[in-house]
Amino acid sequence: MSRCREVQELVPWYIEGGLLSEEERAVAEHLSQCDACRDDLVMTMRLRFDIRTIVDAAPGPSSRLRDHVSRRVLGRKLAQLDVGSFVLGFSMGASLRNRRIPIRGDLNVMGRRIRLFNTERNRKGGDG
Amino acid sequence: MASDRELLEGVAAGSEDAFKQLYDRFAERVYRYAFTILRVEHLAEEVAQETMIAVWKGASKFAGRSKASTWIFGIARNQAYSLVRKESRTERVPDVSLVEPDPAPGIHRQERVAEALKRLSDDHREVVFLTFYEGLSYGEIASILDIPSGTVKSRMFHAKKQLAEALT
Repeated sequence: MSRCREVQELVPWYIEGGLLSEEERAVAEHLSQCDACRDDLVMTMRLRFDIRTIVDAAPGPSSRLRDHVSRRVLGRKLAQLDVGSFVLGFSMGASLRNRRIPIRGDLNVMGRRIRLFNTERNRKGGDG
Repeated sequence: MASDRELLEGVAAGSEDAFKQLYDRFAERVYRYAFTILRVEHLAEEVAQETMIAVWKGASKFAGRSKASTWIFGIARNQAYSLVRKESRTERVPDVSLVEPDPAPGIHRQERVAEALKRLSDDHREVVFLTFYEGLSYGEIASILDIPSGTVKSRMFHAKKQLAEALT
């Protein structure tokens, strides 16, 4: 494999800063001496910019995704009681989760939630 | 701010807050990765959903040998290809290339890159996404795709060449 090919294979990660330090040094040294590989570097940087712009411009997931995941992971909300205001408040919620009904109570102080109790103990490890 | 790894540890201990933070960091990125492979919005959404649920259920299995993002994208990839196999049996995955018109000559550079990106093979497009959008190293990509690092570099080299040719 030619030196130029080796360098051009590494150029995408040279741009990303994802090379080992010795690889990075070797690529930089070659680039300082090779016009063709410098052209490849510029072309790759432009492609990277284009691709990031294209992917960012595409629509993201719909709001249904969060709802579906939330329902399956956190359970179905059965009831929510909120008393107080943003400055000081209390909320209590119950949800259906894996045939259990955990009840949680939180104190809200300046928008910060402090858990007071939760009838469901933390799971140990994963389910699956 | 908690690291991805710390959030995964929190999820493994059953913390809903940790899961919500991890969801905010990864759900959209997983969706975009799945869309890169599948190019069908509702299927990409299904992959993102199943991946995040698998993360919730399986966080305790994360051994910490790789970055958390590598582990999560690995799950997403497995979900995507398992969906491809399932859907291709029932022939419900539309071939987008059959229904999209050819790009008109002289269209904007990024539209030409977007068209060229669609014409890349799935294997090449995936490497381009993980490198340029996710900024993963070739070693991390090799780990997600379960292929040698040399193959990642070679796929990237050929993908780059095809994309550049589309712009000439």
